[in-house]
Amino acid sequence: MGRQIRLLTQITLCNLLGLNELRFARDKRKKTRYYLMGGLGCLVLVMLAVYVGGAAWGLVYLGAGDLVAAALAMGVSLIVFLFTMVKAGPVLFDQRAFEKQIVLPVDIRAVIASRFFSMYVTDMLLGLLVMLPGMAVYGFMERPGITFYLYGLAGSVFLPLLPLTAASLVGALITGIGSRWKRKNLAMIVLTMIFVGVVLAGSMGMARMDESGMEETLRRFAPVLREQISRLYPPAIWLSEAMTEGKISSLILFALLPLGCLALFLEILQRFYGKICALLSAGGAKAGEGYKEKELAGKSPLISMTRRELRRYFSSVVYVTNTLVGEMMMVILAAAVSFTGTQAVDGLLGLPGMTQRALPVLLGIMPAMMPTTASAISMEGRQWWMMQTFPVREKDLMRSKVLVNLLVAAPFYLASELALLFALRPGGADAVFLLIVPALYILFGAEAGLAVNRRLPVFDWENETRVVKQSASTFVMVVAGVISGGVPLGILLGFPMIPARAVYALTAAALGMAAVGLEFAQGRGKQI
Amino acid sequence: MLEIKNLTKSYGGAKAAVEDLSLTVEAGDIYGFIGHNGAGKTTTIKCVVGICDFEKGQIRVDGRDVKKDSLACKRVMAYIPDNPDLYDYLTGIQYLSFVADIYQVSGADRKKRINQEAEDFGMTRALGDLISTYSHGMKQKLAIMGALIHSPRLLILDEPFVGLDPEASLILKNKMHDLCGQGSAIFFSTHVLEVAEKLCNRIGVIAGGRLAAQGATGELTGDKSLEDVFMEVARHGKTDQTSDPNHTV
Repeated sequence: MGRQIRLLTQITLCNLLGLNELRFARDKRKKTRYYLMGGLGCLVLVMLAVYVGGAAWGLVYLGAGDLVAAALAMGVSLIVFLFTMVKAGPVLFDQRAFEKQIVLPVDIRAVIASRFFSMYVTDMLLGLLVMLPGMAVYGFMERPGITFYLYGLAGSVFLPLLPLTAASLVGALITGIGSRWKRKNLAMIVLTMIFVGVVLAGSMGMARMDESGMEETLRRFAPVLREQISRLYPPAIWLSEAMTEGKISSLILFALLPLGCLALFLEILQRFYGKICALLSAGGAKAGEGYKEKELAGKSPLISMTRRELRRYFSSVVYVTNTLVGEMMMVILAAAVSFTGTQAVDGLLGLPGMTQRALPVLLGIMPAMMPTTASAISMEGRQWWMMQTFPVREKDLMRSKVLVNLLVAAPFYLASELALLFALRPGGADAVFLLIVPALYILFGAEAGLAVNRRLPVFDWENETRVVKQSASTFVMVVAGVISGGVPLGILLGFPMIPARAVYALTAAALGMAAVGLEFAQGRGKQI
Repeated sequence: MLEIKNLTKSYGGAKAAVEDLSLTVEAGDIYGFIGHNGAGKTTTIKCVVGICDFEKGQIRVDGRDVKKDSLACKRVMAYIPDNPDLYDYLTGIQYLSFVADIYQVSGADRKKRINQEAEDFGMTRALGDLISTYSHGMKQKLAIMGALIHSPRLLILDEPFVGLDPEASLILKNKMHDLCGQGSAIFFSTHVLEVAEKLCNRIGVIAGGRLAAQGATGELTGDKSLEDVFMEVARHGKTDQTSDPNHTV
């Protein structure tokens, strides 16, 4: 069976990061896109390395150097858990791949294990990319022995296993429960979003800093941090002990726990896997019951395409769960401010006065980073031929995608704004900026996402996860969102003498002009 | 109805997939486009319907240039690919309603046509189900229904009989005749030569990206079968019926 797992995993991973396509593709545009993606990826990696190195340096400076490994391990584990949770179900239960593989003489356990390991490899690379810079900085400052590095590298291999197993368990449970419902996709979307919301809200609650004041907090930093990590994620402390104190028993424990959990998870899942796949592929409603007359009512092409786009959106669990995270974070932030006040949220974010001064921008960045439009064109996939051959105005097609982005974000925006207006009761201009800045961020994100996806579409995908999570356009939009929010945030925090309203006004003007310009540019390009 | 003049299309600087191809399809014609695998049939079709761009030549549909007036051309055309990837997340009726909205078919007309086509193809009960639950043949039928909903002036099909049961094939052939009787034209590619020989009044044979022969079916085949003509073209690049591969009979 090991051979089967290896072969199946290899066939999935041979195109990791699109490398196989880059190797054999003859389309120059595709190759250019890969190189662009590679360049951006390298830039992000450098930024990540600098951030991690800086964090490690800070921990050593504050007397918590022996917790560098633990802090990094916990950070990696949290990221792996959160990001894998929304994709684990679609990856583990990918129907199209399943139908291709199950007709081969392979054990079903090998199929499941290969999918798990294909996620593991990418998460392990992430783990290494975080641990290595941190280890390098600690090593430079503290000059540990050789066991620090050896145990650190070994630990990095096992680091993603436990959060990945936990996330896969959650994904499998959600898929298993949702598969029994009439509207499977909707059920899975709701369950996933509830879980994500609980985890995000819980993370914010757990991260609250001591309110006794900055100086006192810094003095007691190391023991407080150790206590928090021990409470939240004990395996991180085991890894830290192994690396800094040379305790091989801690390393063995750190390795054995996830391996045991993984073995148990795979054993249980393979008993239900076939049944869940069968339920997923079965139609929801009773078949052959005909249709309702009202379905034939005529609509304008724009409305018809918007409805189609909405149906497309809600038909994909991974598409919804990945793009709604931004809106959910907006709501959670608004709820936190409304119920606990800006000072408490300042404690969470670690910067006094930040929330009060930068609230409209903070609210807007998150939905702007993950718009639905960033993968809306790619999601057409192999059905793109219809838009190419139907008498569809390019402008109407693009507008329908922007409209869906706005319709999806609207309820979250309204809920956030109502809560904040009621709780904070801002005066005239402040209320106006609180309303329009996040709205313009959402609009800008929608238009920019579409413009980027038009330049970087991917139609020949096998799994929606590739398009929604791993495509160049979604990546570019995350970066664009960070920049669009980072610049005003930097001014607001770095230059307290500049009135916040002036920054809001300039930000709103820039976002508005960009959005209008991008909307104007739609339909002026080549025909579909 | 369809006029292709000196069409040339290459992919990424490689040898031309279609080279200097010219043909005409008049109103009332059922034009069969045949050729070996990789000859350029699908490329030609994709250039006509707007999926592929092309370097040289001109394509006109109902007198309009497909590059300059693409929307107007698409409004009078319908295309069915060989493997119709439809919107799995829609029901059959939602898909048909969507297509009818795009082509701006009136409520009364769409209702009448959908009901008629659904009954003809035996799809009435299945239209309320998700397309993801359809078999290949059912998807093919749905794609045909969608193509006919606006009574196109030019119907373009790529291997339309693949996956259809014999009854559905017969229904499709009858519909093709009806459409042509109303003044429309049909241009389709196929590997099933017997069907092309019986159904089409004009045939074009493409080989290596070039039109090797074309003409009225009877005059092109003479006393041979279409299969014999096809094999001659495959071997020699032209048919004995004419010394000039592009000679129109």
